[in-house]
Amino acid sequence: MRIQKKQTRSDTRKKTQRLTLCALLTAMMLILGYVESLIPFNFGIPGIKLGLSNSVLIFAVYMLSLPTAFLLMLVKVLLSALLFGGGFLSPSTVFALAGGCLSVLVMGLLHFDKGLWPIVVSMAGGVSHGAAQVAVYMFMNPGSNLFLYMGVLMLVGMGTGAVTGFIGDRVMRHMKTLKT
Amino acid sequence: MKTTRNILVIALLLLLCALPFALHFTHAFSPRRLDADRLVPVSLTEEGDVTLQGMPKTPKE
Repeated sequence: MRIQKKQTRSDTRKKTQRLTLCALLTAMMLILGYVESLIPFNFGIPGIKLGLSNSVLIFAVYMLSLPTAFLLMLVKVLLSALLFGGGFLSPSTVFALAGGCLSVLVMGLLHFDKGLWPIVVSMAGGVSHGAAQVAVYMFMNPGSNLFLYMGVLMLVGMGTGAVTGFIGDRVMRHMKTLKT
Repeated sequence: MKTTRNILVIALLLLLCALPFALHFTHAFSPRRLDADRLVPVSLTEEGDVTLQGMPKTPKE
């Protein structure tokens, strides 16, 4: 009876820890996204940004699980649409959702290969994010030829993915103890 | 071995990035597209003259 009680307590504690960590990561992603929007990071090409919240996402993919990372991304996109964007059904939300879904899926699948560096996994996420965004735009506007823009976004996504992957990797090395 | 695999994945990603550029340029320089660009938009006037579309009609003497 006592052992059972102890187990239940331990389970509850683990669940609470996990929930707190998820809430903390969501808040971090939202803050990073907002801070990033304040920094003038303009190359003259629309849609290009550093994507610092991706470093939190890669942390979640490695330290938590793929479904949890997916859920975090979903909550982040919807909350940032509600707080800073034009609403749930605005085009920017749809593009962010498409990019986020594909990038989390790609990163989640690649992270199972333990031989791959988190930086490379994050680069793949950045590439897929750009590709999915433009692909959805082209699907919504048939006849539009944006392959050149897609290529530029994918190349830039590779670079920014390397930066965010490096940050995520550094954070993970220092926070291995948080693995639940 | 680990490094090789990572470099291979990076090369694959670069190839993926090159794909949209290739699609763009094959579409831009496709024979059909070039033929379409070569066509000159003309229109027939009431007098039976052929004029370029969008150009002002030259006054008749």
